[in-house]
Formats: sequence, structure tokens, C-alpha cells
Amino acid sequence: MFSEANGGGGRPLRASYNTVVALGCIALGVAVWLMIPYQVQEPPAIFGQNSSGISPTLFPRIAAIGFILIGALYFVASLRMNEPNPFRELPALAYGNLAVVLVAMVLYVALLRPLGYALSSALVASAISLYYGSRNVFGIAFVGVVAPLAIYYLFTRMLTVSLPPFPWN
Amino acid sequence: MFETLAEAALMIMRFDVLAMIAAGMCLGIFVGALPGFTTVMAMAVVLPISFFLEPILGIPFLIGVYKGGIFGGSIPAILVNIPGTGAAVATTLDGPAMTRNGQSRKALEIALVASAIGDFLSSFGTILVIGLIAAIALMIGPPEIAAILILSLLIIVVSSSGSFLKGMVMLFIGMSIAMVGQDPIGAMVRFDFGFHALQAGVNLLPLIIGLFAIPEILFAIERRQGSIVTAERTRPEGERLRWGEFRRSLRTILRSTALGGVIGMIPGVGQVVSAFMGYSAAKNASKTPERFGKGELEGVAAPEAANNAVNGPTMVPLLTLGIPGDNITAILLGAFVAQGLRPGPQLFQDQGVLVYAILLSMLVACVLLVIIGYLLTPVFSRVVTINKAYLVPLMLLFAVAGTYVYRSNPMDLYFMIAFGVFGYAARKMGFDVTPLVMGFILLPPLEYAVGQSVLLSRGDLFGYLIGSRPITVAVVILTPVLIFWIASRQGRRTRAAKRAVRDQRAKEEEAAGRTD
Repeated sequence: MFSEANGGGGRPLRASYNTVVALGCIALGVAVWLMIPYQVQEPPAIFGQNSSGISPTLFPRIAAIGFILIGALYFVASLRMNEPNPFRELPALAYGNLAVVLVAMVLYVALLRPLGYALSSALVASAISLYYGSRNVFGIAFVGVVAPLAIYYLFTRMLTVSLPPFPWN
Repeated sequence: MFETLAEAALMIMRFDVLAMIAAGMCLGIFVGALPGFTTVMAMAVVLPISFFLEPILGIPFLIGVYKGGIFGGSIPAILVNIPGTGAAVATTLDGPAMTRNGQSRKALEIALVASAIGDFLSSFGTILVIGLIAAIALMIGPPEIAAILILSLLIIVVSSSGSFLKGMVMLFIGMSIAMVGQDPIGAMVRFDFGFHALQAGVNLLPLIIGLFAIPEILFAIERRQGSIVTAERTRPEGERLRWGEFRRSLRTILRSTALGGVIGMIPGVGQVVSAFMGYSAAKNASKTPERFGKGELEGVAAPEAANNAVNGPTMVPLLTLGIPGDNITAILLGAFVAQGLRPGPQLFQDQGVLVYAILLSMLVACVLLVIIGYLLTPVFSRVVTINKAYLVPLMLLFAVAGTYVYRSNPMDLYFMIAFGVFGYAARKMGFDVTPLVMGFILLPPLEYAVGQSVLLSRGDLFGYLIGSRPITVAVVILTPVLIFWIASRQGRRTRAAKRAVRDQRAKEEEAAGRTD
């Protein structure tokens, strides 16, 4: 859409991922502005005066205008930014790796209370270590058994704060 | 002041304080020495540990991690040409060349000594002047605070890596996240989207751990490359540093210390810029500038002294005004606040002895750095080769435990993951997360200061500022001038630094081509 050469010469104008992010900024600014009446409570006026000096909507409005203005400048600048899309450079395998670890993280959080910190940590740490490529039994035993128990002990005994206990406790 | 200092000195003369600094330092050097893991990440992950210790143990522990991490980053920079931290990038200009010349032990020792001297002197200077600055800060009111906060935020944006526009976008995102919850003046609910849990706002801890620790894990997992560093060069070798060589480098170390000390007081500029400035100044002042880049001892001493000299003075804006200058001091701010110590000029009146004790612990940390570094550098050099298959899960275990223990709320963990994914994507696209963190931290005090200024003005803000607040007007007028000046210098320096690293790489490739 913007790939035709700039009439004044120089580098051609080209839409890039930066253009999409810039448009996203403008959209975010508009969204924040539209949300303000519904999402920001106004303080009660005392004798018709605002007792807090400024309205709680002032800074949300500044942020909304900021997003729109900076987004517009960024949009113009993005047409001259010649940066390759960093996500396109990633091989499909990298997306797979990221997805596996993110799913493992979410499962970890979900299992934290039912299984307890030490047990859920043991499962997730061994799985990630194995997936990363380790086949060393001692290494996996260290991150899968010794480390979760040591961290559990550090927080619950030495720092006396609570982590989800073992399921049999 | 001397009485306060004497009481503070007594406060830190405890075995457990020294032990905590030493433990933090070992951890910091360990993580700093790991290529791909940063000091900020180490501090973010262990930050919650400090919450549950006495302030005099917890904050010096973090200071130990900080100082250890900055030095630790120079180990892989010198041995394998991979800077362990951003601050050590300038060390790769001469450090690896010394290693190739069989002088890696000497390079590591001058890095250690320069780091410790730069840090000690700048911290000592900080202790001498910080009380005076706090006393001056006590005299300024909400309008000045608001003007200084705006100036600081803009300096942080122009000094961040990436473009100014991207920095501004991140700043507004950080400010918007800080708006979730209640406004700091009237506690009116904002942007809770009907979720009761959001009324308490977004917690700093999941934000910090999410933005600084999780992206490192995601970057490491992208290619599952395991340990990329082979063990051949990870043992310090060659002669030790000689007294004469140290004396010859002393002028360079002192020059870099002075430069780093000044840079440290300006929020946002930081260690990377300081290291490159120290290096350039040493090269310009040298009678043999042609030896720089080929394994010059002063080429290692200069950036190491300069990047460590930033450490002490960054405490000045943090402790006197509550303005963190970089990500590391933002984490320290989190530790202070969690301990019930709200940085600002009032803190020196209420908790003067404790503040000075914490500052004195920085000097103790410098002495410990020399001892620990001298004894254990050969051990930490082996860390460079540790397989990430073990480090990645370890970091995750710490991140989850640390985030959970603060409020025992699994929701914080989901926030942590979300911030982690956001931080990963942002860094991929060239957005620096520092302005986001600063926007998040500094919005509430800014909003409060602006609110109070408007109340003080009794409806005529412009007239009030012109008539009664000349300092505020001066700061407001100077802000665009200063920002433009910093931006132009920053651009020039970044280009010079990039050119220096590129020339160095080209020279190395040429040398490698010749040996093939």
C-alpha cells in the first residue's frame, strides 16, 4: 500500500511491523479516551469544588492524547523505518519452543496450589530441562529435585513465608 | 552528620550483614558471568528475598548482587568476547584481545581492581554529598517535584535504547498500567473493568520479574542451543597484574571514576554510556592510542572503572527524590518501599542512620568485591560454560516462588507471565522496557505532585508558578533544551560506540581470516 516510491526521491515509503504497532498505539489512545467516562470514577464535589486539585481523569486523558499523537508521529516515521520483521526471521521451530515453554508456565501456575510448590516445580523444571536438550541424569535431578526443595526450604523455613505446601500436608 | 555516620558504621559491623553482602555478591558474579543472563534479571528474581529480611540485611544483599553482577559481566566479556551484561560491552574492545595475547588473568585482575576503585570512590563521594542534596531537596515543594519528575521521565526516554518515539510509547504504556486501580489523590477507582482484584492496582513485583526475568527465559528457549561456549578459554592464564602496571593505569581509573560519577547522578544515562565514555576519554588521553583495541590494559581499566563508578551516584536521585535512574535502581526502589522506607528527602530525617548504614554497606561491598573477586574469579570463569538447560528452569523456579510469596495470589503469576510475553515481544521489536518501568513507578508521585501544585495555586496555576515558583519555571524552560542536548549527544555517542564495536569485529574477522 505504501510501497510506491516517494515522489521527492530518497528511500521508498514502505509499511512495516512498525506501521502496525503505530496504528495499534493510535487505536489504544482512542480506546482509553472512550473508556474514561465509564472506567474512571469522579470524586464528589464539595460546595461545587473539586477537593483533590485535579480530576482523576486528567492523566488518563493525557495518556490517551499521548498515545494518539506519538502513534501518529510513529506512523509517519515507520514508513521510513527499514527494519525487518523480527518475528518473520524466527524459524517455525522457535515458535514451537516458545509455545511449549509458555504452556508449561501456565500449567505450572495452575498446578501450584493443587500439587504444592515443590512437586509442581519438580515436574516443570525436569520437563523444561529435558525439552531443552539435557540428558544428564545428575543435572536433571539437580534442577528437578534439589533446587525445588532448596527454594521451598529457603522461603518457608529461612524466610518464614508461605509457598503452597505438599499435597499430603 | 558524623554522629549519624558513626551509628551507621556500628549498625553494619555485624557478621550477618557481611555474610548477606558476600552471598549477594557471589550470586551477582555468578549470574553476571553467564552469557545471556543480566544483573537486572538476577536482582529482579531475588528481590522478594530481600522483602522478608531486615532492611539492613535485605538491601545490602541486593547491593551485593548489583555490584557482583556488574563485575561478573566482564568475565565472559574478557574470556570469550561475550559481554555478560550490557555494562560490559565496552570491555570487549580490549579484554578479548588481551585473552588472545595470553593475558586473560591480567585483564580480569585489572577489571576487578578498576571496578572496585571506581565503585568505592564514587560511593564515598556519594556518602559525602547525599546528605546535603537531601537537605536541599527538603526545601523544594510539589511544583518543583512535578517538574523534576517530568524532566527525569523525558531523560529516561531519550537515553533509552531504541528510538525516541518507541521510548515514548513505552512510557505511556507504563503510565497507563499504573492508572489501573485507584488514583493516588482521592482513591477513585480507575480502569478496574469490573474486576475487584484490579482495584488494588498492578503490583510492582510481577511487573519487574515478568519484564526482566521471563524474556531472558524465552530468548534462551527460542533456539534450545544449550551451552554455546566451549571450555577451552575459560581458565584465566598468563601473568598476574603487576604493581607498576596498576600504577600506570591509576590515572585512567580515576578519570573514568570522575566521568562515571557525574553520569550516575543523571537519571537514565547509565553504565553502558559511562563505559564507552571512559574508554574514549582514556584513548584520547593516551600517548599510544593506536594500542587501544589490540589488548591495552588501560582499555579494560577505563570502561570497568567508569561503569562501576555509576553505581554509587545513582543512589542520589533515588534516595533524595525517589527517582530511580535505571532498571537496577528501580528494583532497589521496590525493595525500599516494601520495607516501609519511602525514598525522598524525608527519609534522611526519619531513618538517617539506616540510610547511611545502607550507603556504607556499598563501601563494604567494594572491599568484599576485591577479596571475593581475587579468590573466586577462576571458579566463576567456569560458570561461562554452564548449560542453559539447567539455568532456564532454575530461573523459572525462583521467578515463580518470588512472585507468589509476596501476596500468595496466583493472579500475580499470570500477570508475571503476561508481562514476560509482552517484554519479550517488545525487546524483539526494539522497544526498551526501561521507560515503561519508570512510567509505572513515577506516575503516582507525579500525579500527586501535580494535584498538590494545583491546590496550592488556588485556581491560577500559571500565575502561581510565574509569581512564586521560579525554580519550577526554570526547570520547565530548561527541559526541552536539556532533552535536545542529551538526545544529540546520545545519538553521537551511540554511533561512535557502534562504530568502535564494528571496527573491532572487522579487525577480528580480518585476523581470523589471516590465520585460516
